[in-house]
Amino acid sequence: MSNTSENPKPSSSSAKMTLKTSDNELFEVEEAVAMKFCTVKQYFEDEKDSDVAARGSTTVIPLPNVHSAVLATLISYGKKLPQSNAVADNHEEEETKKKERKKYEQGLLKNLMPGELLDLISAANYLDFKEGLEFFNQALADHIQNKSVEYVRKFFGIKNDYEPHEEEKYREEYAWAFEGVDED
Amino acid sequence: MASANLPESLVEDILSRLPVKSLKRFTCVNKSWSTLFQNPGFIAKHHRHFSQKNPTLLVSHRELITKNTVLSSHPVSNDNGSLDLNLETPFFNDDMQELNILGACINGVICLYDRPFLISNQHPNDDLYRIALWNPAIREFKVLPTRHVHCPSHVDYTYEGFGFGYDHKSNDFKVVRIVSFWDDSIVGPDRPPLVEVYTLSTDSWRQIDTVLDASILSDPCKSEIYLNGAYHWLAYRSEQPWPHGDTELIISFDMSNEVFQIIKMPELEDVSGMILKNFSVLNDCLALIFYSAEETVTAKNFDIWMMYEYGVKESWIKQFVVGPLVGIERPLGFAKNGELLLVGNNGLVVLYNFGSGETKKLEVGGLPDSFHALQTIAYVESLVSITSRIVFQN
Repeated sequence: MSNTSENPKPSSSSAKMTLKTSDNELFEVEEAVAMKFCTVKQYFEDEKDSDVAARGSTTVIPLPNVHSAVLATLISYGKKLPQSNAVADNHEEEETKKKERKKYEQGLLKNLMPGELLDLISAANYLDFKEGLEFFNQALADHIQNKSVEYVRKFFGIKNDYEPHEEEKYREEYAWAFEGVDED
Repeated sequence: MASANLPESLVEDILSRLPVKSLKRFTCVNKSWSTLFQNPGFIAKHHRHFSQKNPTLLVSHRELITKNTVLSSHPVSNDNGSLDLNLETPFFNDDMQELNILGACINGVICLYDRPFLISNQHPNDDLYRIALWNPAIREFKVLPTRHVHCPSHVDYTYEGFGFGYDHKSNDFKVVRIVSFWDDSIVGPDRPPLVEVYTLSTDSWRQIDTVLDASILSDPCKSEIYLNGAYHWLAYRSEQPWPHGDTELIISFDMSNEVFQIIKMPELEDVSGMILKNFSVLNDCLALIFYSAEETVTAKNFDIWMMYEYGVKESWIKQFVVGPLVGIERPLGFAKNGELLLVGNNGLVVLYNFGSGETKKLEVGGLPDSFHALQTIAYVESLVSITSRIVFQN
């Protein structure tokens, strides 16, 4: 990441950071959320080490590998996660938040195209966004769980290197694993 | 937009979240995926993922007359299940006597043993006992080789007990068997029990020199458990000299050290009437469930003791008293989430929740009424292959 002459604001729970995507869009994000992206956190911590402290300026962190649509979803997901600096909720509040999050997650996945999932996983990996990666990896696993071998090959861009008779033999021996598979 | 070419580590992470059936199918995708699914590190990672979720509950049911045993699976422990035909034990179906599960499901592998239905005075024949290791998820099983017991013809022997476990030091599955002898014609001490261990890596039995000076009460359904890498049985020791009564105790066999140890039972308060007990595991502690044996009792109470410090007699605490519960025949043990499992008088599994104090019946679709629940185990699937002896790496 390039060093800039601008300096970060002093750290506070309402501090914001600006992230710039590959398509040059700017996203203003609360520090608490941005810190969930460990790559960003590292960048911010690097900046803190610098001597000059100028108030009223925001660091713009470039994310050349992340497109705006993808970042928007990741930020949105990050906001819904329990915040590390939040005041501890009582049991009821916790349960309500949990239900809300579940509903949000279900809604999010419903509207997601499988290809978008791959982009989200790539970006979450680049940003070192652990909770996001966990969630989207599981979502992708759930998506392909009942798919056919052909679908999975196409999806991951994998070439079949089995001889036809090898594959046939395997399918016969493990016929039970090929039952009840989704139609392509 | 990113291409579908995710780094290998991500693809591996995604694949490790798939159930075994999917992985068995995707073995066909290409050769490197097939290799990956046989990699011990991947197999361990995959099993870890599924171990973190709530385990499936497997219940064995036995038909009262024919002794036929079937298994039902319940994805989450309090879900009604159905007779899963895929769980039809792939062997022993021909002339099964009494099929029991030894201890626990370890790394996705279950140990089944088929005990002959002996008529008294009949000499037990080696070939009537059958033990098998089974991974239901990949539908693989292996019947253990038999090994004859050699002793003079005037000496009788009996299989006292079996145990199944995993040696985490050598990454090997093991089965231990204990044979005890008696000889009516001789006055004096009996031959010491014969202890033999089977290891999967060698596919053979070997005798071990170890001291066992107690008698095991062999009953995999209620008095045997597996914990901390050791198989445990309820046992007793006759106190000398006669007529002092027997001392009850717990015997453990450590799968790595291959050594027996004694664990003392709790001291119960004054008890009147006959007491029955069920040996189980709760929150990774040894647990004993005591209840009255009185047949006439319609509502039963259960005293649950837990051994908080493994091996320390003073750490036995009577943690819960459950009941009175109506319509219960006996306890089965604990589910992984801490619910108490019991068998109702109608043979169905009943779940008792400590928090709410409520009970719930577990229905099994397709199961005739003449079947009664016998054992329950927590089951987590794995890719561990028994026949190709792939070492499981922790």
